[in-house]
Amino acid sequence: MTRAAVIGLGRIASTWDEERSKYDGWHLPHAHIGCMAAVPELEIVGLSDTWAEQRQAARAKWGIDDLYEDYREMLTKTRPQIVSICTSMKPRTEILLEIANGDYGVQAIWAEKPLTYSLEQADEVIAACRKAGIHLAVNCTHRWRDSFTQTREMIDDGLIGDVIHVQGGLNCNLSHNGSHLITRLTMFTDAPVAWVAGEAESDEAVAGEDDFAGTGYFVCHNGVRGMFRGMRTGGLELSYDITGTDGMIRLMDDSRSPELWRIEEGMPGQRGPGPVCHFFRPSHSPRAAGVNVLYDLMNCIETGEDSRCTGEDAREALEIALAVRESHRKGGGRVDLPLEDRSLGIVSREVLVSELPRAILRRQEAEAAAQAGEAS
Amino acid sequence: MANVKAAVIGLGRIASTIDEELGDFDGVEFPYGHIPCYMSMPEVDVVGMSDTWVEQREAAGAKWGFDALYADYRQMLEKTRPDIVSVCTSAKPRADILLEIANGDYGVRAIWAEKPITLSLAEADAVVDACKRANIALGINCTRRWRDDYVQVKALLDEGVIGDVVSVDSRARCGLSHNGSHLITTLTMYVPERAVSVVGEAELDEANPDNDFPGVGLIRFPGDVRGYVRAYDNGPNESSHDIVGTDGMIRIINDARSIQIWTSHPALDGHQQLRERGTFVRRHFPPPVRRHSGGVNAVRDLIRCSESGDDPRCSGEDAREALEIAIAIRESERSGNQPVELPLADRSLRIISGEVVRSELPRAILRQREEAGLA
Repeated sequence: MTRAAVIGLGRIASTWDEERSKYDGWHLPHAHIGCMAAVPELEIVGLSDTWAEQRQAARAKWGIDDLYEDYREMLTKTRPQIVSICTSMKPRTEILLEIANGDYGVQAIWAEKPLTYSLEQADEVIAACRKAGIHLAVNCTHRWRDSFTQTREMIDDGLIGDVIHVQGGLNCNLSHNGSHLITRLTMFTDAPVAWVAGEAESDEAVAGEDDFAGTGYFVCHNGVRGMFRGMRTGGLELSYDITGTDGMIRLMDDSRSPELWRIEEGMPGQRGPGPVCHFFRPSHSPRAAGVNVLYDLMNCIETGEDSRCTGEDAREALEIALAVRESHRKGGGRVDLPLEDRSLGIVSREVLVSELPRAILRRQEAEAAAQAGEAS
Repeated sequence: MANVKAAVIGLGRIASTIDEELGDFDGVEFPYGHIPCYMSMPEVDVVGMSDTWVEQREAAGAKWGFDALYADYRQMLEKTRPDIVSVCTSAKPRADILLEIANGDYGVRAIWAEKPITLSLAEADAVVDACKRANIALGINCTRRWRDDYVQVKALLDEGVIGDVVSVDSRARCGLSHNGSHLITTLTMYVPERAVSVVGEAELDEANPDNDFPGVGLIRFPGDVRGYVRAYDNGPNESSHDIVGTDGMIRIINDARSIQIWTSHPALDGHQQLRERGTFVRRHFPPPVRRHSGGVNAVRDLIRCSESGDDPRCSGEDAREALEIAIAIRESERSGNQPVELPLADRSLRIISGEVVRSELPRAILRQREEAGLA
């Protein structure tokens, strides 16, 4: 059995699945603990959180008594092979470095996104994990989602020729959920991004270091181009086009409605070849993305391969988001990557919302709403 | 009421033979060439055709059973006094011809000119000004601006079916002056105001720096509206446009052979609410009730504008903006992909349109010679 532990017991660790509706198109479980509990080859050996409310709620929900206030104590006592880091972004760097530099025997980390606040923190975390031989997977979920991994396989099988353009839309701030948006596109581009031109929602939004909405155009070293919209997405919300020389995979409505387009011979009376839309055959063995992450990490431990969303992948997403900001500040023109100033950072949206863990915040808001209802 | 008198200058492919290249189920409304459009309209009489190439005159005379053929278009204009004139030459002599018509006293009331409007911005300025002064309605044949399906999309936008337009993405592999005129004017027909700046990249031929080129442009319009024009390879997403609104999207696929309308809809019970206003549903595109070809619509629009003083659906200003956006993309590439403000200060900037780069020969003659193995 592979030993697993979780640091931070809030929404994405524990309660996220409760928010889903019946026909959401999500494949549950999604939250870290739920995924770990669904993998028979895994054993959860410890859960930790500095907030007593979070520990109590997790104990009640999962029936696990191995709860710790101090994650270092948990790591020392339980010696997990896989550790999930589900705290907010603020303490994430420190925890990642502690795990990588401490001698806890950890072999793989499943960390929430964004990877870090700044590029230099990301550089340090990646170097420390590489040095310690720890496999790092950053939870940009779609990199493990069946529809997206199947798209990747179909590209590798040559169904759309060579990828030439990727495009996607998701109303979001570019560090927080922008980590999802950008890594969803770069998972198909196969080369580092060379330059970015971008625009943010307003001058005020990028006057400081707070997270912001924006749009970016990027050019990869292999000639693939990309366009992502994190604002004013309208009808393109959660829609992705991966275009190749011979075909295109269109993932509408967050891939609930995927299409495979190919260029094929036209019918009689038509002038030459044209686009043809095929049914998109789903995977034979669908599995929740989070469960895929865990099997991916177990495979990484065994084979030494990289995970599907490495620290480098997540750092590139942060760097692209920062390049959008720098581009906006300079009037919207080209910004080359990698960025020279590694001190640049973005305070992720989740930190801006509240210093409270999101699950506690939601509970407090629900209680306040209930009290207000009773009072009226 | 007397019929409208029409004349045609340049008797090659777009004037005469292009319909022969299209299949029965190609999705393009016939007639398409200028001459067959005029010939199909009972309210129009073709009074003259001119071309400097004798082969073109003979071919057109034979094809259309028409004798009023001229080598010199000036002579034709003087003798026939047409109300509307098609200018179907290549881009090279176009500016001179347009200025001659506008500044001469030929009594012309409307011009249906091929695209691009001119090679340079200075020429475009002169043509637009001269036509305005002469009260000539100038329409540049960026066809989609008159095609029923594209026009109906515009009508649906005006009805507010997708809310306020926030972005238009347009894709087609092309030189940005030549077929880029189509691509860019299709994008701009769905945006109410003129572009203010462009960031672009382009594949330039530095040995021939003014030659037409493929490229990409990020176009900024006033307020929050943005355009994204991509004239590189697009796989099966070729000739497509996404018009995105605050409450939906209209997706034009494969040059309008398929059109999808996505609109906001409250989430059904048990479905995830993607955003405040629910989710999106895809609706069928109701085909236009009355259909005419883009060319016939263009002629009727020009006749109407010559009487009312309105601007045609693709005016000289519209076509000049397309040329200016294309040039701005090139200038952005040359400045290291930095933003370029519009209007451009240097009006001498130009693009030698792809059709001119390809050959000095008229396209129809080139095709004949290629087929005969002579070119």
